[in-house]
Amino acid sequence: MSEGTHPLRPRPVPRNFLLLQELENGEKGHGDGYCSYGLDKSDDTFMYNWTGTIFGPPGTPFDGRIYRLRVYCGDQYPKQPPKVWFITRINMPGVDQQTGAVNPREIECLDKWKPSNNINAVLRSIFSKMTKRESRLAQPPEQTTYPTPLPATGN
Amino acid sequence: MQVTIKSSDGSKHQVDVEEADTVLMLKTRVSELLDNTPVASLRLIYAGRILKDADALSVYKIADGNTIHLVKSGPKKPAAAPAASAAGAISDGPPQEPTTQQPQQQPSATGGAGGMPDMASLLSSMGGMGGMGGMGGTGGMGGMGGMDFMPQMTPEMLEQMYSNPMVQQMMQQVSSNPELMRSMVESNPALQQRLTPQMREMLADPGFMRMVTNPDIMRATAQLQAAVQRAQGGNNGGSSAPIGGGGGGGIYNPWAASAPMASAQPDPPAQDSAVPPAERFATELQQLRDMGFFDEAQNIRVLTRTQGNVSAAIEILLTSPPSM
Amino acid sequence: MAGVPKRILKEIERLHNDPVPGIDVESVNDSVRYFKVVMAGPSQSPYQGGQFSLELFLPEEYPMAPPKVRFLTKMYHPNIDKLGRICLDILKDKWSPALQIRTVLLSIQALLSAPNPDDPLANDVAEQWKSNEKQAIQTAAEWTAKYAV
Repeated sequence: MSEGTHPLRPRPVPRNFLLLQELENGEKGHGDGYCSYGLDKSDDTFMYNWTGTIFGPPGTPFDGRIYRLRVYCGDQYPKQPPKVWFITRINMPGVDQQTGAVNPREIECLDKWKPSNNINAVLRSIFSKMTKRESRLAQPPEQTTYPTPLPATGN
Repeated sequence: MQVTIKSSDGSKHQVDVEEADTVLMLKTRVSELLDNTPVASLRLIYAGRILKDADALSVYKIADGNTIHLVKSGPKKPAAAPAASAAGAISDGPPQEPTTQQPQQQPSATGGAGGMPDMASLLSSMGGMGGMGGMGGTGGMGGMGGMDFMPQMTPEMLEQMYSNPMVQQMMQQVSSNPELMRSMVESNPALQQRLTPQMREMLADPGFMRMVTNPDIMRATAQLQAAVQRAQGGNNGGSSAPIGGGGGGGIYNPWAASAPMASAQPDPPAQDSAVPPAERFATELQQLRDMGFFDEAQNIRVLTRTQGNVSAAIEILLTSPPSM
Repeated sequence: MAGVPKRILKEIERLHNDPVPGIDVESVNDSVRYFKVVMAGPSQSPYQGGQFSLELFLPEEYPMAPPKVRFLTKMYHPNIDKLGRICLDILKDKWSPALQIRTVLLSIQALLSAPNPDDPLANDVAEQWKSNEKQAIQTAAEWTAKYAV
């Protein structure tokens, strides 16, 4: 293979620099106004644990509520999708009612994961699911939370 | 440093802040930028975190050029606005007119247009009720979000409400749901101060709790739903639509699970004057007992006077001297 | 190697053949764009005696855009934040394609010798540095002993 054979082949950005960019995008509030995310702890050097919020879509049972989520990006991110949990209780398909864990099969962005996806895309995909008819369910009281899971470390 | 405040509706505002500023200070500034939207209804989120009022911005490491998300919650309008606009919209025509599609929903009380605004704002502020008939379908329930029950209820409004016969009818239903009542009161410190000792006792009475299990509540809720549609029907729900909240009726609804029941029209209790009042108002008497009114004879007298309207009866019982 | 500018290959070759004293650069998984760096703390500074890990990435646009660099070792320094991000003008608006990986790393090493609390990235550290420099330097030395061994 000689130099310049694939001048347009995308060069993957290393995980850490990708996540640094995502962090900056989150702090700058890029994207639409319905999702927000940042590091759970500002000294998490390897940026495993993230905290996200989704604002309940208007005209749904989630309207007016702010949902907090936990997003875990493992060492293999973005080859492997992040793991996601709701912290705020929510009744919707694809969310384990005991733990708040999001079933990746039920969220399009996670189910059809591509390394070009990112945390914002995951939150957007969950937001999108919240707007679906199947998500129109009775909701638990506001500001109740799932039991705190043990922090995941490494991979 | 300068930060961007970004609403979920996409609008943006640049605000100059100091790191030492508190979140509350920032909210005050934002409130001024947004036509004095109440500070209490503003929620700020930065990088996935909900900002707490007392914290300094530096706690969240907010830096120059960063963006803070803004979500407005609860009532989207200042307290006076819903009543005013509802009054305007509804008094344009007789209240009966818009409800032709369902004649059985004609308002039966004599409240007239004057009473409607209070009820409309009362009902719209109940938020959750609006979703009963089918989430998201009804539109215009004001997107109150079920966040804070009736935070914009002023004591004045409550008093007006009580004195309005139409609303009294409504209150009968409301009073059979103590939780609703309780959260209504708890969310409003001003109202709490204005409560008479009797009212406080009533709210603290375990009888209220017992009534949560009362099957009548579901019926009452359904009636409320019907009334909501009446109230909203006149103006396509526009009067209480939120400014920036997206409106829809599909808001949080504690009773959503039983939504199908909402469509069933409750049968009005049979009112045969041949039946002695103690029997005719047996349910209502029980309700009054549950609320701590133990003078059976007096209860019967009052209920007879109010034709079985429990909340009107309570009103009389609370405002009259014990001996009548 | 496909699509790697000659410039990058030359830089790597020179770093290998003529290493910068106190700075060790190693490719990650034979990448020509992603490197692990170990930097010795400069003498006469509170970082003296420490070995500091960094990671460096050459983005697609390099050398038109600056390399991305950050410390992986915890640092007490007014221009380095908790994630190891470095506030240094040549890594931002003062970048020039005439600069290289070598010059960038040397500049970072110089920054360790000469903290600039007036252009801070870590505000609480900068505050301490300005109000009580002696204490700040002592803390930096303590962190060096604790994390940079």
